[in-house]
Amino acid sequence: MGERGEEWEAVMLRKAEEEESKAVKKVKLVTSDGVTMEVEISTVKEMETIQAFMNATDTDNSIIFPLPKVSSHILSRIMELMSGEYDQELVKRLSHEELKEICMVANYLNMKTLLHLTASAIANLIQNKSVEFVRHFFNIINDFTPEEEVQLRKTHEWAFEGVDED
Amino acid sequence: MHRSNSGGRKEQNDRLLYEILVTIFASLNIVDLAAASLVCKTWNKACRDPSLWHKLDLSTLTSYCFNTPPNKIGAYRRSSSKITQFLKHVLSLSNGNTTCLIFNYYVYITDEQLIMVAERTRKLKRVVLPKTGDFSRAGVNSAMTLWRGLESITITSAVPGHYIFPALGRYCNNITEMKFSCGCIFEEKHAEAMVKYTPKLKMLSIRSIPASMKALQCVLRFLEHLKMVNVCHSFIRDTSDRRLYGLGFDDLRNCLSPLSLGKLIYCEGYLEGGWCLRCQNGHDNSRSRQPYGPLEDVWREDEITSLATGNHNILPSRTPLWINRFRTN
Repeated sequence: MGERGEEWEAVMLRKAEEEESKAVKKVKLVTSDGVTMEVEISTVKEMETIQAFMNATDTDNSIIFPLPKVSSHILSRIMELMSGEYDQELVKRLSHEELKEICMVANYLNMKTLLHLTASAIANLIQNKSVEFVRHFFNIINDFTPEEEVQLRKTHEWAFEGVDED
Repeated sequence: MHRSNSGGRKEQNDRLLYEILVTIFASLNIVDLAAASLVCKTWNKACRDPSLWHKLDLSTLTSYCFNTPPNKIGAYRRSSSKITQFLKHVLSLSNGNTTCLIFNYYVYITDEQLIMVAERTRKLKRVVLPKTGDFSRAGVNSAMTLWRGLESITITSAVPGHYIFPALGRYCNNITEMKFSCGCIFEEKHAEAMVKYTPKLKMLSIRSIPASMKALQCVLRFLEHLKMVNVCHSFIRDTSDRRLYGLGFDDLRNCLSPLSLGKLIYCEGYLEGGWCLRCQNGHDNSRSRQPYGPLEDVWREDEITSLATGNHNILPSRTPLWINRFRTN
């Protein structure tokens, strides 16, 4: 019993130490809606944009990094995906808006795995869809002139038939 | 939490940067990529990124207007204007950056279309020809004049051997890989033509087609750079013997030198049970693939990876070369 108790204490001590060392290595991310999120340094390693900044400034702790283009909602979604090891199932559960936002943030923060994962998920969504559907999906304003549009339709019949229902 | 006001939309729209678009487009098949170029000017520009066009794979055309026509005449009528339009469009997006071109097995290609494609793919190093098409000698000659840098070619019965070999000999002096497939029979005249017109050949696949023993002996003896010949499920027979039976494992050993045997990729399986892709993957007999189903697989897959079209060509883990088996026996 006594021996086990000592072991237990040792384990707890180690754990406390680990937590202490972790506590030092945390980064504060400030989102566009003013929420501060504390994340571990291991998490930031995948965000190459922030990592590059940290390498340049050479400070270990209490870093505050503003993310004016990222909302707290999207950041927490990204954290979920990262802790879920980028499970495809988690990606499927995202709304289209979230997916687009995350893809852009992944590009902005230079997170390669996340970028490729979300990019291919978006590619799946627009597969075999009409041009109108895609414009609507991405809120894209068609900037072809009416004349150009007529010409496109005339010479690209194949693109306007046989696609899925919108 | 979601942006829904129009200002946000506009901003979001602007932020869909060129590089993100290119990353997304990299996962699209050719039809969807071509359609994406019609969405807006920004997308159109991103669709032209050279990285998207090194490999132009038409084997993934799935839109119904490109589907398999029931017969040759139907094929001719259906292929014509739409496929020309489509090819012109994608080739204008490619801006001449394509080095590997895979035609669609089923989509009928005419002489004019072949030449039109060749004119817009002058950097081509590898071409996989379609099964359906009808090419003249002049058409084949014109295409090969434009494809002087060609290194690898998959030939089907759409192109007669006596057109293609002299053209390759005259214009394409760097052919190192060749696949003879679908509707072709590998005969002595072909072997002789290879020795004469494509002497630098290193890799040859005649998988799953009828082949003459003498032709096989000829290429193995006279093509000095030849490293591998894929004869998985080829129906190899002795053409001087009138009986129609294929030569087996032991016959090959009797007819070929140990050095030649070492270059063969051979599968002993019958329909199933062997190590090769056909034995492992089975045949695609789904209705959409009829009537050429099994043959399309032969054309698409290959145990020599560089001669496969790239999709679904996962080699089984067992050693593909039978060198040891032949040598120890």
